[in-house]
Amino acid sequence: MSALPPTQIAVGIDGADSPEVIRELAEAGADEFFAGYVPAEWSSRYGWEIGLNRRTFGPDYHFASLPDLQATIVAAHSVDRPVFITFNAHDYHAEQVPLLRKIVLDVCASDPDALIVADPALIELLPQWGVTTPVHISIGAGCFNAAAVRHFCRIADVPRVVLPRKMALPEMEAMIAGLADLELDFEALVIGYRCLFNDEFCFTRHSGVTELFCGSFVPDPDAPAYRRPPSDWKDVAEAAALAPGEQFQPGSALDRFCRERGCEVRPAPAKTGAPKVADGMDGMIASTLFSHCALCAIPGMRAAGVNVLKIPVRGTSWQRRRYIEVVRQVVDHPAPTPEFCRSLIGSPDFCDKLGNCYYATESVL
Amino acid sequence: MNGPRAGGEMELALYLSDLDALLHLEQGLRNSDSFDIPQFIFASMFGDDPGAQEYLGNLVASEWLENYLAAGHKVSRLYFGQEFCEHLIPSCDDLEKALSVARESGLHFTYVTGYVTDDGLAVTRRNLAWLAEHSPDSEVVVNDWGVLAMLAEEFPTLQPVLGRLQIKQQRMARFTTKAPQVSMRGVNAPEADVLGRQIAALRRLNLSIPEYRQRLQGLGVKRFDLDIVPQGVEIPAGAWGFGVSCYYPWGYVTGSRNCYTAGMLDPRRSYVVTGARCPAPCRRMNRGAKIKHFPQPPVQRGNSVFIYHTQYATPYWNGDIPIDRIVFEPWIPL
Repeated sequence: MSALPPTQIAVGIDGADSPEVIRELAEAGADEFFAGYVPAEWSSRYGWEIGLNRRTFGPDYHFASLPDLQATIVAAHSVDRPVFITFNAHDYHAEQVPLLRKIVLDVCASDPDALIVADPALIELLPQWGVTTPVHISIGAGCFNAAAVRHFCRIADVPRVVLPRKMALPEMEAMIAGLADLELDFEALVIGYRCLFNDEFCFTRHSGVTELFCGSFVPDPDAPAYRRPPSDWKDVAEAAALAPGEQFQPGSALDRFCRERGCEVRPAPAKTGAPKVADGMDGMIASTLFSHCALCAIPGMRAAGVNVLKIPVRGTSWQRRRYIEVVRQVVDHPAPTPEFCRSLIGSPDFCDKLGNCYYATESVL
Repeated sequence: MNGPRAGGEMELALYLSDLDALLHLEQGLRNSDSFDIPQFIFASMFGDDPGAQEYLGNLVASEWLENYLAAGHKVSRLYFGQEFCEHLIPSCDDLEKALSVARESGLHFTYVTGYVTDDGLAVTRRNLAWLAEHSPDSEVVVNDWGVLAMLAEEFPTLQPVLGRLQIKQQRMARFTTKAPQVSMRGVNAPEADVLGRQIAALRRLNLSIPEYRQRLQGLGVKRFDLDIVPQGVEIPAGAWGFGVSCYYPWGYVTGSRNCYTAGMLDPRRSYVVTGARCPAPCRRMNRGAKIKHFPQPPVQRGNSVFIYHTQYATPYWNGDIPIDRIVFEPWIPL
């Protein structure tokens, strides 16, 4: 394998992170920071659910004060770390544009290093507002192919694309190879909660006070499937309805239909999902910390051309330091094997469980 | 639900996602009075299948269609193709057969495309090249910026339609009968005012931004397709110069590239994208999570989740909203 380009680690921050915390995270191995900014003039108008970004759960996920954001940017720059600000709501509309413009210009005057944007309408507006801050194309823009990225590169100054969470490594490689002439950065998420659904095409409401749709949508690996009924099922239903009392005997129209359709279909057995083993941390404990993990996929992602690994979490600094630590160890290792990556998690129970991996690990190595 | 309005200005299209559905269209459209069928028959036929809701919904919708046609409307267009999964993109042969059916039936043709990786884009390019050669004035529904750019650059005679996946209005499937609760922590404003502004915002589209519309028009887009939503949509009379379609009776709510049904054969596929070709078990079977949901349970089909539209759909076809095309789905198009 040829030498890989340097890989950056990007970490989420919020208004609770003081300049001191920024310096600590940088010392722990964070190369970049990203954050949301939602001032009171927005939240008092639209609340949290109609967001300036896609962390629409409440005040704890953003900066609300411009001076605080400015101090954070200064602190990050003082240790040579860039800061990117998320304006990555799926969509904005015309009534919001005057306030949105004011907020974006306020932020850009604070000297962030890029804006992370999803809405094609905002990507269109930024150059017209005179914004010269570069644009990172958010996952929310849904760029699954090179042509989609080129489309946005023709509109704005785009040095980076954030890859959708639901891509296979060979698909990442094909897309990145198709953009080799543009010298873009490619960023991918590597740890923390990963929803079952596609961020960019999920149109459900996200709120801090109502149940999330995806939260009630947990697939059961052992759940059966059901054969599709034949196209003439209405004929059968009507025939049965003409003589309902006769259906309760062998050979009736209803009986023949049910027999021919067959019973439910059982899924193929999972190859992983081994029983709990004695060594290592309990899988549930590991799950509460890591949620989903892509450590084993990092070598393949880097070989595909991904050069920024995003830790998309906020919260306590010890937790983020732990994430940075494990990602950094994989990045800095000359040849990280799956066994090495699993040892960093410390829980075979977690690593063996179906659904905990962020990506399939069929790589391009 | 109110009946459809009489009159002739509304275009009516039928949407079939694959050739098998097209070949069984007559059965799909055939009305059957669901109220004449005892409940035990449905229960016996569909058992515990969480997808059973779809078949009952299709039955009710076929009655709606019958009434709509009886009011003087005619089907004049065929939508054909796949929005949600690149493993299900029709072959060129199937595309050719679908176009033949449309022509034999005197229908205009709209080819539907989805969001795609570079592999999927190559397959889409192959189909668009065939379509541009054999039916150069066809419409193409686009749900991917790469596909739209490719259309504009390589197939300029084909007419792009902005697809419903590019209209990111919240589907609000949970809140069809009452307004949602809002988080007021740290918000310095009356809750009723915030909720009112949220609902107003959720009725608006990014298409209301002129600079964005100008970009789309520059790429040849003259129509956009909407999902019906309970909160409705704010579109001015004249729809900014676009044609506007809506899909009925099934609305897309959410979806993924990992797929619970594909997970029947390879359990990993329930959670991650493997990159391998999918054998498409969704063509033969349904697998959906059971979700307690109100007032209408959503239906999972393949990699996506759909909601059956109820009374809130009426403003989309009674003239309150400037819609000029209904895209009728005899089945969930996946």
